[in-house]
Amino acid sequence: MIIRSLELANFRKFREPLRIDGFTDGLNVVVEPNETGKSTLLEALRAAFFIRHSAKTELVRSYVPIGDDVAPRVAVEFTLRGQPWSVEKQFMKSTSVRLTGNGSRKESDAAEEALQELLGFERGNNRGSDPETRGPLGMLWVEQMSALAVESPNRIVRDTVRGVLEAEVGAVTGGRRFDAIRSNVEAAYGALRTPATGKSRGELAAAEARLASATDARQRAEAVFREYEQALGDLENARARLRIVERDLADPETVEERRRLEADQKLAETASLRVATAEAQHGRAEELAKAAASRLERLDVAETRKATAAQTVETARAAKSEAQVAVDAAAAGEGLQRSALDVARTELRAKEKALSEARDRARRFAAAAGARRAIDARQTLSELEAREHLLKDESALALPDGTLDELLRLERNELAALARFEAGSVKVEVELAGAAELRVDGQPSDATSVDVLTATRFQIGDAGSVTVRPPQGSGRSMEADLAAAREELKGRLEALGVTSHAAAIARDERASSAKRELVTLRAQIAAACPGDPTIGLAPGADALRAFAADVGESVDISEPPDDDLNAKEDAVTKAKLAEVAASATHDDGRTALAKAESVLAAATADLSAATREDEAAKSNLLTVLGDSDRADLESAALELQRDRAAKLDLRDQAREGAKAFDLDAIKRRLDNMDRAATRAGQERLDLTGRIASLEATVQREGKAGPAGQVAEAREEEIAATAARDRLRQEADTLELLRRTLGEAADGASRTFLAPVTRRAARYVERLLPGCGLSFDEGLGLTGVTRAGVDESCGDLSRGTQEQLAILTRLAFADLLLEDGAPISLILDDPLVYSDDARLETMTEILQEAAQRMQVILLTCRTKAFRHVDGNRITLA
Amino acid sequence: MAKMKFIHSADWQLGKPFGRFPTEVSAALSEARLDAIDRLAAVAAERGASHVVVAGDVFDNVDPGDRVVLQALSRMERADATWWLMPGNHDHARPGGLWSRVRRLAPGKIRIVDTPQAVEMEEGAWLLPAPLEHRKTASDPTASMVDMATPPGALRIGLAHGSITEFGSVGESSNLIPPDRARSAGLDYLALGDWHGHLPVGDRTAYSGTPEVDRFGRDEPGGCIAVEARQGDIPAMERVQSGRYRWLSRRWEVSGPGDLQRELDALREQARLADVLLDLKIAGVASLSDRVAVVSELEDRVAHELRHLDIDSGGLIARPTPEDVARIDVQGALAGAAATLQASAEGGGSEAPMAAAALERLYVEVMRHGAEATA
Repeated sequence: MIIRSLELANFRKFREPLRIDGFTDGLNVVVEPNETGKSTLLEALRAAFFIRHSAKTELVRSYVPIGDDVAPRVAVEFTLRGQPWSVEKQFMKSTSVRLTGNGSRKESDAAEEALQELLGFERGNNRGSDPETRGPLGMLWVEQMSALAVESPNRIVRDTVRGVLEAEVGAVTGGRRFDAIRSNVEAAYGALRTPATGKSRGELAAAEARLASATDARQRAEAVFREYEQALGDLENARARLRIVERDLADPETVEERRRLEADQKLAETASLRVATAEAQHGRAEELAKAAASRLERLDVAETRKATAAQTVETARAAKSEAQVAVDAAAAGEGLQRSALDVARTELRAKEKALSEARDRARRFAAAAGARRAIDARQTLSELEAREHLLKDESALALPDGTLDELLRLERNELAALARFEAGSVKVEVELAGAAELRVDGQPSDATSVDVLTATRFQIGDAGSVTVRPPQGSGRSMEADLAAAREELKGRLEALGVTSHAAAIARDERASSAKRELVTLRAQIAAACPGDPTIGLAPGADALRAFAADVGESVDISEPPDDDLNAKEDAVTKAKLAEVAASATHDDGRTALAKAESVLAAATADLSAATREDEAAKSNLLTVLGDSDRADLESAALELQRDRAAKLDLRDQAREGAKAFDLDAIKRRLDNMDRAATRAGQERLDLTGRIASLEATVQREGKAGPAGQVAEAREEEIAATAARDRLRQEADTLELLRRTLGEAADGASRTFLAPVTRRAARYVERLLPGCGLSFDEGLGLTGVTRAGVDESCGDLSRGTQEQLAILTRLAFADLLLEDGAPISLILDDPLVYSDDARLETMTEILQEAAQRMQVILLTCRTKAFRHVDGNRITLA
Repeated sequence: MAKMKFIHSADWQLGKPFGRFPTEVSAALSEARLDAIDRLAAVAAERGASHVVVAGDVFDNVDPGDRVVLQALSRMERADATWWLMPGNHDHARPGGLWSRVRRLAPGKIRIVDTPQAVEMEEGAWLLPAPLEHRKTASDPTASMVDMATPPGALRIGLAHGSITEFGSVGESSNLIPPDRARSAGLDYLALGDWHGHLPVGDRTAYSGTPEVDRFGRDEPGGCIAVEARQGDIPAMERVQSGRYRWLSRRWEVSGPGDLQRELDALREQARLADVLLDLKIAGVASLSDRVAVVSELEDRVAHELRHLDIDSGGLIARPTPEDVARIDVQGALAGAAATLQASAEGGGSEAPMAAAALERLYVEVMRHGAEATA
């Protein structure tokens, strides 16, 4: 098939009519800039052939230039098997188609059908989305983007190619039959397992679920059955236990034992009661006997008391009389003694008076004598005090501390100044011969040495004068210093009232000595004033002076008294002793009297108490006796004692009788039996309840037939397992089958596709030396083999993919060409991703192919295909 | 001289679930076991027997549901006979268990003999039962019959469940019964249960077999024994068929549909297919097409005619002929797949059976496709 010309108007970008002609057999390179509508040319070609003129699909509407309301029109002239043809189509408005050729002209659907027949395609959906229907041209008219993909050829191509291949290799693939069978097998397998994952589904999954649930149900049924069996077992045990308990409860030996114990208990209780009674009676008798005895004792006591009280009264009375006599005697004695004491006291007072008078006299004389002495002492004191005054004045001359040192310093200063003066002055020593007169500055002088400080003129006699001029400058100040020092010393000495330092030392010595003497003198003064207590004179000079001033100069001194004080004192002492003795005697008498009186008082009290006790004892006795007398009481007590003895005997007998039974032991045994019976009764109760409950359980559970359910569940599990196994086996079988079919298909494809592979290999070898191609059964390129390693198409570079896509298309085109199909290869902007070397190889291959078929390259890359030798058509 | 007519039955195994069968089959089989009671009643009426003794395994397990129990009891109640039911190893007596329940539900004409004590059936006829209290009893349950006293001149009928010692391990239980028990216990008849087939042991002892067969391995139909016992005399024992379903096991050697047809014709002669459960093993060597034809005939046709078909076609070895393989395809992928599978199937090894199955499946798929294509 050779396309000769293409004409279009109102078609997308091309509003104005455009006609491209000059297409030749072989390679045509249509060069045009981008976006001028290169791809639209291919679209227009497709519209002319594949899209029905009457279609109004979106694709068809897209032919109308944007914003216009016009009818797109396409016309193509082509040669097919040597015959010229033309087809014209108008879309959307006044739609039309006209196919002219082979001496005929067809229009409308007839034209469309004739076109299909002619070019080997089928009626499509007019949407451009049905490459399967487009036949060889659909595959070989490669638009820009799909050139990249290594797609399987469309169905018509596949079938055609198969036809070619079957003819070529002589092989029968089974084709659709194989596909159908395989798809049935796949469907059957797919009903049981997910093909991709092998996971169970459908019937198999259901069978597995059934088995799982059957297993579960079986386990549950078994558990229920086990519980039921357990309940039955428990029930049997409980019944057995109940039988034992009931037997125990009704045990005749136990009953007999109990009866015997109860009889014993009764006997024991009676005996015990008897003992208690006897003990009580004995107790009471004992109490009565004791009461009687005690009453007798009390009677004895009362009687004794009464007798004692009477005795006591008598004794008290006697004692009282005796005491009275003693009191009277003591009172008489005391009166005598008091008189004696009065006499002694009078005597003493007389003696004391005499002594007192004598003493007064003696005292008066002593005071006068004391005053005389005081006046004498005052005389001595005055002399001492005169001396003291002197010493005080002298000691006041003492120099203050440091004064002497100061004076010494000043003197030394003066001497130092003098020395300096002397050193700076001119000492002129004069030694006069004879009686020569010396005048110094006109003044006569007898000095032998003069210190010259200023120009001084010495005249010795008339012999002339000598003027001595000391050196200028120093002399004056030194003189001034000396004068100042002297002045200061002089001032200080004057202030102190001394002439010199040595004089100051002497004065200070004298003052110190006076101070020492003063101390001694004061001691003497103190000794001269010792004081005199007899005349009320305190020690000390002041007291003495004051006393002396009071007494005056004169004191009368009488004759000393002649009283014998000692004798008088002795008399007083003797009287005092006599008085003391009398007083003591009187005291004794008085004490004796008091004693006697108190004895009497006690006796009187005793008598009174004894009398009262006597009365009380009498009354007590009457109380104790009551209405009875002693004999009655004694006989009653005796009777009671006898009764007590009898009761004691009875008690002991009862005790002896009770010893035969141990009531506590009997009670313990009975209690134990009771407890055992109670426990057994309780157990019987419990067991009965438990049995009832278990029976209910068994009855309830039994209705459902747990064993039957287990049997059913087990069989269901077995059946489920069998069903699952059968399906699993079927699935396995199907899996093996589909695998085998797949492998067989692959194997067949390899054999079958050998011619395609071979044709493609011719090209591929040039492009990718050492590489082989592999196709799947759908004739799709699945991959290349490089150095024995398979690579899938997706892993190849885009450039390689595009190149392979073109080459496989070429291979198929060759096959189709051999089959006489109308072939035209159109590539829209191909080999974009190819490097220069590959591009060159590819263009060479295309040029070769162009010798067998028309090849149209639509490209915007002028340069890329500049080296290509072909018919160039440039769009205006 | 005391004598009595009665029906000896055993091993009803009521409530057996038949869970491995499809629901409709298991329901029919279960129903048939209950129907057997009606048939026994009919036999009793027909033979003038007023007693039916059941020598154990009345129920399939120790605790069937109330539905089974009541179904059974109501059927027995309808009959004009007294039923003597004894626990066997499947439904052994346990205090408070199944038999307490049955006794509570049972009407008067149903007597449960679950204690080893002689009981008077009717005047001059005593039943000496040996009920089982455990699934397995090491001792001989019939031993006590020797000491069971009955009035002088009375008919002594023993009722026991277990294997005769001579059976060895064939019997179901280990409750071993000496073969001369009838003689040693002075029995006029010893009615035994446990063995599901009819089996006389000596002249006074017999297994009645189950009234309705419940498993493969026993081709004859279920039945019971109509006994006429005479004191001191050999009893008259007549086997009466009572079973409905036939459980047949067959192994057919076939090499093609023709052989199969012959076998089927023979089977149809023997029994009504609708009442037959067939456990079929087919064996032989056949071409693939023949094998497919045989299996599909069996599965698609015979299986529906029968009550139930268990088929094991593994023994029918397919030897695919060149024609078989050619029918799949002569060339191309299908032929290649068939060749691969055939090689694998003939090569032996663990994959071989599955490869054979896969080949057969492929063949079937090809045929089916062919059929669809031509349709």
